[in-house]
Amino acid sequence: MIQIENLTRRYGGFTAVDDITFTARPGRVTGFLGPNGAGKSTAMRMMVGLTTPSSGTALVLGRPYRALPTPTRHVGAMLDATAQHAGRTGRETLNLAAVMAGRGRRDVDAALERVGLTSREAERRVGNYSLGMRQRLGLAGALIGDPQVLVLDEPANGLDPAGIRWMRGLLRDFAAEGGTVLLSSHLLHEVEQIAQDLVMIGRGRIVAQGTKEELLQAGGTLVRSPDLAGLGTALERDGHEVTLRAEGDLRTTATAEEVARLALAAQLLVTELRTAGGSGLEEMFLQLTAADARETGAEGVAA
Amino acid sequence: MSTTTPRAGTTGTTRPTRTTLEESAMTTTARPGTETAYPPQIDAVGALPFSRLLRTELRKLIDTRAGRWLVVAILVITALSMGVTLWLNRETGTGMLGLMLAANIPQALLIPILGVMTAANEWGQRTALITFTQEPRRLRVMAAKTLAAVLLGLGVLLVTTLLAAAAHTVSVSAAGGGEVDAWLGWPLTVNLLVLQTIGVLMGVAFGALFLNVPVGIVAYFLVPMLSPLLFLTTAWLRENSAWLDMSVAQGALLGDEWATGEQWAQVGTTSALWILLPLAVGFWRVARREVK
Repeated sequence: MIQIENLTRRYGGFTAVDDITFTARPGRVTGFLGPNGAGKSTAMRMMVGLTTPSSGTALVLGRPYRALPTPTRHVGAMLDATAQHAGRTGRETLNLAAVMAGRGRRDVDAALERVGLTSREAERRVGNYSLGMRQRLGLAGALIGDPQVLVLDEPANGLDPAGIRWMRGLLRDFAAEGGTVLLSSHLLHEVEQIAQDLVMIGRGRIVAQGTKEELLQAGGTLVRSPDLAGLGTALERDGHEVTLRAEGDLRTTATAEEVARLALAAQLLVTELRTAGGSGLEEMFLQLTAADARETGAEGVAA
Repeated sequence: MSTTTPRAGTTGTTRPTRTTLEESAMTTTARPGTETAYPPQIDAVGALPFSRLLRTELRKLIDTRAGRWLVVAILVITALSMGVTLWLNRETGTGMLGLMLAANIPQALLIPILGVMTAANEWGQRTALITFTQEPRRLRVMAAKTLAAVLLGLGVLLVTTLLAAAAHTVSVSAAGGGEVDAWLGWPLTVNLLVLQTIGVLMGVAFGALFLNVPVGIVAYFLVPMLSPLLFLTTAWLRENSAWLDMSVAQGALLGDEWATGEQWAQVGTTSALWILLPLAVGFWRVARREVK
């Protein structure tokens, strides 16, 4: 469990993280979504005590991270997979993490196996690793203390599609066993695939949060009909918001069932009826990124 | 042994977890029934002991190519400089003092680099991100780093002494059988221990001050070279340079006689100025700095 309350971090006049509040619950994968530079990494660093908040609190398992005895036994963190000593072998990197967590050689082997690094790969220096291998190694380091909470910053970065699928399985299993997973990403579809809860952040503020289903529902319903104007009027009369889309259909806040009932009552033909799903979320995300008008943000979406 | 530990917030599922004897014993002694805001397992795990930090930091000193080669280079260069001394004194045989002083010249230069590296390289390689999540009490990590570097420095000194003893034995017998006396004597032993410790600490201090390995090394080399120039600027500084200039003060320790009380005091003041001060500033920086 990670509880974030009114967490804020200012750098001079710039507010990197602006009064965010959310909870990452045990048994669930929570996706922390936002364009580059939105404040995700700063927030995550505050969760693990690397950055001191300007105000607000971040509790992990009910305590400030710095108050956890042997923190790696409770919280596995991977904040930057590239932050590894290039001159150490993968195995040695894990050996050090194991010593710090009070774990043994067998745990190192188990962690390597769990993230799919062969023993030959583990003997190579990290400097020769691809980004995907570093992600796996970083994840192994986070898992070595057998923690209940995982805090992962962009863990899918550099993984190929098969790797992303593998990570999804690993994190889902971890959560299914009662663990808490918080992972960040600047890619919507990536988070959509892995996370059950979503927290969307832009320019330091939370712009949307909830379960994935709730947020997908928030996108509304898309309807197509030969008589869009008539249908729109009927929906508005019933108190729903309606927007005509350039695609030749309309989006409404009514549920699909409400639309169907109204159409039936008004004797209107409906040719297509579906929830907007991810496209609503994506639009919100794109707006967020575009509003940012930053090079990095634009790259993030294109990537 | 294998036990089943319930996890926090588990929705009725448990999974087998390897648990050490010690921990499972602690779990059972955890007050049952007490309501806490956090899962009881947190208290079942003890705090991170300092010995573990020390072990990790010692290991980090020599588990990279750079660290390992530095130690190897120090020992090789030490052996070479002893070899030169042996050759120069091949007629008469070489005493322990001459060998140890020969070894001290390269070591005084190279040993502090160990200190700079341990204090600063985590910021260059960005492993500070990992280290300080493993142990958020940063000054504890820095204390372990300092102690680890000192221990390694003293380890090198021990190997150096053994090398010197061997060299001394060889040289005496080659020169036609003088008396073999490999004991350094207390004054030299203490002087060498102090010099080695000071050298390592100065490296740690400069590493912590700049948190950058190249800058730390350059500064460590330049400061003793440039500071004498500063001490020439005024008559007062010139007269009291032994109290401020580290190399002058340490000169008193480069021998097998006890330094005077005043000389020890000078070692103290120069160390305070060139080691304790940068060390304190450096530790303060580490404690405050945001880890990215």
